[in-house]
Amino acid sequence: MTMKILVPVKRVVDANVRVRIGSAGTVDTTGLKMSLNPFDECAVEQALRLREAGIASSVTVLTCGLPVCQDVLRTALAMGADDAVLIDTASASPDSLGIARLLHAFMITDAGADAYGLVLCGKQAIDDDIGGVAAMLAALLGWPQALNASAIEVAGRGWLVTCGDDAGTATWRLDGPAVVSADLRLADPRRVTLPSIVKAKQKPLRTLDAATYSFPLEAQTRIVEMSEPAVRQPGIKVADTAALLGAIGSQRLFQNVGA
Amino acid sequence: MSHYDFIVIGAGVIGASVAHHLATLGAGRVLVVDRGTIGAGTTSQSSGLLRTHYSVRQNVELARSSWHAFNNFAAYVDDDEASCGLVKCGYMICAPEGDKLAPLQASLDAQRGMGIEVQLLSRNEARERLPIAHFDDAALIGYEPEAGFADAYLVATGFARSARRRGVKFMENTTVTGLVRDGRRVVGIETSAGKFSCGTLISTQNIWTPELAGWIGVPLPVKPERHTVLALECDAAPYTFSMPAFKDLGSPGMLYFRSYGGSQMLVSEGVVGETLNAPETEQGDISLDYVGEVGAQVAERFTAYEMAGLASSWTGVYDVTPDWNPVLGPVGDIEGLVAGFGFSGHGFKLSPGIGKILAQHALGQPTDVALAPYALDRFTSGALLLGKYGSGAVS
Repeated sequence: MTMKILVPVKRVVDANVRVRIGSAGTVDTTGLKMSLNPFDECAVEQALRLREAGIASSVTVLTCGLPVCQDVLRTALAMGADDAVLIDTASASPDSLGIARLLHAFMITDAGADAYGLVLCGKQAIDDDIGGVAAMLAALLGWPQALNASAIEVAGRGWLVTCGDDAGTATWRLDGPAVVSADLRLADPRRVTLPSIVKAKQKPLRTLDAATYSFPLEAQTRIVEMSEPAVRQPGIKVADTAALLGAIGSQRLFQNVGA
Repeated sequence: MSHYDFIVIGAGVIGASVAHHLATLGAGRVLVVDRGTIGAGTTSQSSGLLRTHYSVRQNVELARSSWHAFNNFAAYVDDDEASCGLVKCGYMICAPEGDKLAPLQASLDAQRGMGIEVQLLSRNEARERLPIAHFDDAALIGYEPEAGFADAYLVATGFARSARRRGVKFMENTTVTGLVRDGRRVVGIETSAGKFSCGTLISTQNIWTPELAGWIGVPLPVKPERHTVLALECDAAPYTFSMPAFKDLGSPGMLYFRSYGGSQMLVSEGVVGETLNAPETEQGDISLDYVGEVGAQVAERFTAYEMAGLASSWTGVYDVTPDWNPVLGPVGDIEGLVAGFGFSGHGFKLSPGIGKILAQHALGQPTDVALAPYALDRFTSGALLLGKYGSGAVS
């Protein structure tokens, strides 16, 4: 099967860092540990497994952002991706739709011997938690989509994808090329090895200028205000079991059970 | 305003140790305040190495008394359930021909002169203890059996629990905003939870010591420096708990190593790190290039690790002074104040001993180890405590 996989990824503040709102009213990430978005890391891993199983011919990782975002592309290349693309957005700060449009534009102009048969990405980025790009890209491409996937296998000319939702899990059959977004359960990411870090430096990393795709990248959403989450209130001590039951009862903790 | 005989600022491993020793030495009412929680600042980022190998003699003395505490931690804090997480795997240090050889020889001789067991190993003997490394270039290999590593967070909380049991009050998430002064004398602190008066104030503020400098108007030479630690995994050559911690003076980064979790390798550079503009313990960025560079150094000594995987990586922050040794004792002409800062990446292994001598000094008792060499005025008098290996935490 001659098919490529595209894995769009995002550079985010590391999951172990506690971000704070700076004096400018925004999150200042200068000097903080940055990482490949953990959901995207699972997507990269799954894509590599599909390539290693002979289902795909190559894995391309792509990110939209400033040149500094190349570091997460290098991480993905060190994991084993074949090539990488940075779409340099310069001063623009596109929102989910802007990113989806850039990905769409890239995919229809990035002609190669093999076509993309699968877009596999994280179900959300851990910084904004929006999770909009996969669905928007599927709409722009007119491809079927399966979000929050915990398992994927090839099925004829399409895919069989197991997804989690509020009611449990559902298995979807997607015909033809598809967009799938990864849950953390999809695939446990492999470790970057020292030789692969060296090898990654030799792999192709293209930089494209977002301005060459002539559509406006301004975000259609605007952040009005950022604030720290409410400080957790300390617990209370109760005298006995009766008081405990009373305290729990007054909290209406279980009102939505079964909803 | 509540009054305490002693107030300690900082509940890291040093502050908690001071509190424990104040309590056991009969200090009366003691309060410890911390901006965060016990042991959650730079303490929690320590690699935890324990050794008595130092080129500065006073440090050997402090490290020896501290090792005794770590090696008998439950008895030391008089709590059967207390543990410092000690892994007594020994400590090996090697140097090739070159500029590190003479200092290593001198340090090993000095340790032996002080009655510390130090063995000189042949290359083969070294390989028996650490079979995942080679020693083809080693001109001198020293081995201390009474050494290893422990868990700095457990030690901080262990000392804090002991202090609490003896009546010391801890206030966490309480920020000190300034001092209460009576002329040249410190008589209390102002905090986010109100004012408290004290007979003596002990500052163990680590990278936040510049705040103290601002309050007292005395320059204190300490800066925060970030260091990176990697955990590598190599199935072909696991670094087990029975293998000694290891210092490679022959590597460009003067790397130190130890087992991490019984199979992975913890490795970090023992040279100057990245100076931060402001004190903070948040995780810093670690580039893949840096991992590659350190990994290449690792593979020079541990050949199988050329195929190793990066299991995890993190950063920790040192409070570094110009000579990479701490300042202990009074500062300037301020009365009622005792300071301990500038541990320069090797405070944990000295923390029991330092906590004790700071407590002894605050109580007006003779100190087990002389404080004078650690005085602040060494930076003006020129009597620096320079380690023989150059700048770095081996000191």
